[in-house]
Amino acid sequence: MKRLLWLAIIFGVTLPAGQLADGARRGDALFTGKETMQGTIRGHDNPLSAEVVRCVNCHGPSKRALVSRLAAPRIDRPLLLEPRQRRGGPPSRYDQASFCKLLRTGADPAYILIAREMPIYQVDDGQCASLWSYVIGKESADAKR
Amino acid sequence: MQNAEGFSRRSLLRAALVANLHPLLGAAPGIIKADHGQIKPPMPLPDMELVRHNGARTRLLPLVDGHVTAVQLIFTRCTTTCPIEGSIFQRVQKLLPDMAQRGIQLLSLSNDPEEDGPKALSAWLRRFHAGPNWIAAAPLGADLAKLNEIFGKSSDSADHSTQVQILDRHGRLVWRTFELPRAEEIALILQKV
Repeated sequence: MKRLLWLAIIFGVTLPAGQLADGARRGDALFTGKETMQGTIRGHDNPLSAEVVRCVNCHGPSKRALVSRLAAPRIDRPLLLEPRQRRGGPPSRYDQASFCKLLRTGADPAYILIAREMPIYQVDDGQCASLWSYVIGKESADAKR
Repeated sequence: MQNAEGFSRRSLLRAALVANLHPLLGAAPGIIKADHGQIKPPMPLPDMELVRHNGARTRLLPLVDGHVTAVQLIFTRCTTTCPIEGSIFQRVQKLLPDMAQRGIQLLSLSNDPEEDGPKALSAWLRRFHAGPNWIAAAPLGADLAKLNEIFGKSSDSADHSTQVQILDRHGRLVWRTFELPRAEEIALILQKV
């Protein structure tokens, strides 16, 4: 009985944590392009090559000051989860569903289209959940500076 | 439905609509007022000195003379919109396999001449499998401001325009597309100029 209790504790606690870590790991791979995604600029007919649509291309850290005022923001937990005015709309925050909708349609939680430079992606639910796990696990980019 | 040149009726209609609904508004000589659309009258360009990806020095006007040229602004360190621009030209190239016979060429102009020497520009072209009618070049230092004034919208290299500018066979600016245009529209315009 004691052995069963230990097994329950081990699997009951570590399995979900392991799954979560797996999701974030996959999210990291999707974000950096190690696992490819298909993305298309809104209004275009053909998907761009996977290398061109990696999230990290625009949302990753830049070693040089190449980030213009039009560049995409660093994605982190506060940016997504704190209520903020985005693109002149009412305050909004992301959850997994609205994050996935953004990826697939380009519309933010307040139904405002984001910059056209960001492709719309063909992502399945699993990819989307993994990306979400990864990005909300990122602490504030400002806090790191 | 597609015509003999492989363009759908919808594409042709869309290009016609773009042409008619977005004409250049009051383009004064020497100054481009409108953001996009057909440029009437065609606007002569000032010349500028360029270094090509093969290391050869040239000037803009002789380079474009006799060709219909699609021009895009890029810089090779850019990881954001420039690779998308490169992909768009790559697709234009695929749509127009007979560019050479038609006297059409693509020109990627860097607005980061300090970094974009022949080696970087050649790597840029290789990355997108550029054919012989796709040229990359960067202005010589003093002409950078001129380039940004004509083709860009900002002196900040990281904040350049992603529009494509179309030059006619006399090196005059005749069309300016929307930001990040569809390759099909560029190909269509190139064939009509």
